[in-house]
Amino acid sequence: MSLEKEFIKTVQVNTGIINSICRTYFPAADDFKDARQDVILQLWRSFPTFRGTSKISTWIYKVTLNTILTKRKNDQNLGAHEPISQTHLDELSFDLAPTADDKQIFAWLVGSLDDCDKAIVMLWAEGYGNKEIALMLDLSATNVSTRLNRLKCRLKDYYFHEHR
Amino acid sequence: MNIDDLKRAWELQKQHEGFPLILEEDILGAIQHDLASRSKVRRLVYNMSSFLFLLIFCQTC
Repeated sequence: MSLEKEFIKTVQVNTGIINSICRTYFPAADDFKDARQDVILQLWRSFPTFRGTSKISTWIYKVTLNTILTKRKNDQNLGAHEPISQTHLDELSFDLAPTADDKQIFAWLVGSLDDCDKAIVMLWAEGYGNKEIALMLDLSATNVSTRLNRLKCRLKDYYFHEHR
Repeated sequence: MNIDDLKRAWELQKQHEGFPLILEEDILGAIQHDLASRSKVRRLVYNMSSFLFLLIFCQTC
């Protein structure tokens, strides 16, 4: 199989991971598409260096998150603001309905976190341990552990005290 | 919702059908973009090397 074909197959198998991460950081449709294109480009550039020592999904998480976090940092440095689209306005007024399902609650909870904490929660939800998360995000394991404990408490508080 | 239900929620979000699919054309577009930019860099390096070679050659002669 040629490198291109192998790459296309890899991306399509892992579409869910790429889409979910991009949508978490860039909820507006246009920004989402731009971010996803950047991620695909970065994955393609890094693809020849993937040696198969870790799972392909782990590599996808690592490259996708690092690309997105760098893009967010650059956007912030440039003072870029998200366009105020109707979607964005809808999100600002978004309030969690009492009938919200787990997926909506998760999106709502994660949406309230900063960029780094979002990444930690997503990786934790995927089942990665503190050491693995630390390696993927270039943080110390202690830092991840502390942040994760604080996040779990915060998420519990949000959910149980404010919305139920 | 228990805090561990977040893991299940993340799993559900990944399978969400509302996301636009990543089409083969999207991926090929990214590959083409990369190849085009690499080719531009290669051409630039080649032109620069040729120019430097000629410059040094002329100065030496």
